[in-house]
Amino acid sequence: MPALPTPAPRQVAIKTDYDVVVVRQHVRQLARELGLGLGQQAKISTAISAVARALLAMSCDTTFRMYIEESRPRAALVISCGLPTACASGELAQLEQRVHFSEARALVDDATIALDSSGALISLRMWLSR
Amino acid sequence: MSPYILLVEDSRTQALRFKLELARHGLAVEIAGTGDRGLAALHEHQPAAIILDVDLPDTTGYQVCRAIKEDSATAHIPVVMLTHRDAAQDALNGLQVGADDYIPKDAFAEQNLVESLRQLGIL
Repeated sequence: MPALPTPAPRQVAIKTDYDVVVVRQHVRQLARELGLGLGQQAKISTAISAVARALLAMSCDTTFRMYIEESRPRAALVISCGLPTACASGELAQLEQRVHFSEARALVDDATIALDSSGALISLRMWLSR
Repeated sequence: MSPYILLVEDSRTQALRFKLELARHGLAVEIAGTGDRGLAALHEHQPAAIILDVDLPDTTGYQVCRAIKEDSATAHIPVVMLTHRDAAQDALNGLQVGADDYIPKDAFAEQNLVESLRQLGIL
């Protein structure tokens, strides 16, 4: 089977409820373009909308970035967003709860939250067969 | 009879919305307003795919999907759940009972439904 082309990275800023729908749609389209099955498309797009909606409820403006990662143990579709310190304060467990992380993690192949002095980086991954 | 899509949806407005979209792509659609009617209809004449709402007057789309997938006569029929419920657990529930796709009823629902049927080989 010929390799699927690598789609260009995309990004969507989350400021309104409609932005949550838009980011979900971008993720679904990207997953489709990358050859993921329908169930995988539904899972990753739902996971992103769960996190995006939670961040909106926290009044935490952020931008979701969608790109292909080739270099980690295996290729992945990655959707990530950075949170400023004001949104990422407190313990990691509290942040995970606020952003509905466990629900999102149940839908994707890999999910991480990295905390540092500038805030947090949430990344959700779906493995690609490429 | 030619292949058709069974749409299990209790809202007449929603049912018409999706029926019109599928008709634009040349698909015949039969509407069932309850889960029981949907299950009865697919035993009378098997559809090419089932589009299934989650919130139904007599049962849930999850239960209908489970019944479809547990019956060897209907397990092969693709099921696309189409619902206002877009929480992570709702989607997980739908996929766990055997739905092939789970589509929120948002501004892109028609587009995603058509694309889903295309990927299932129905369009």
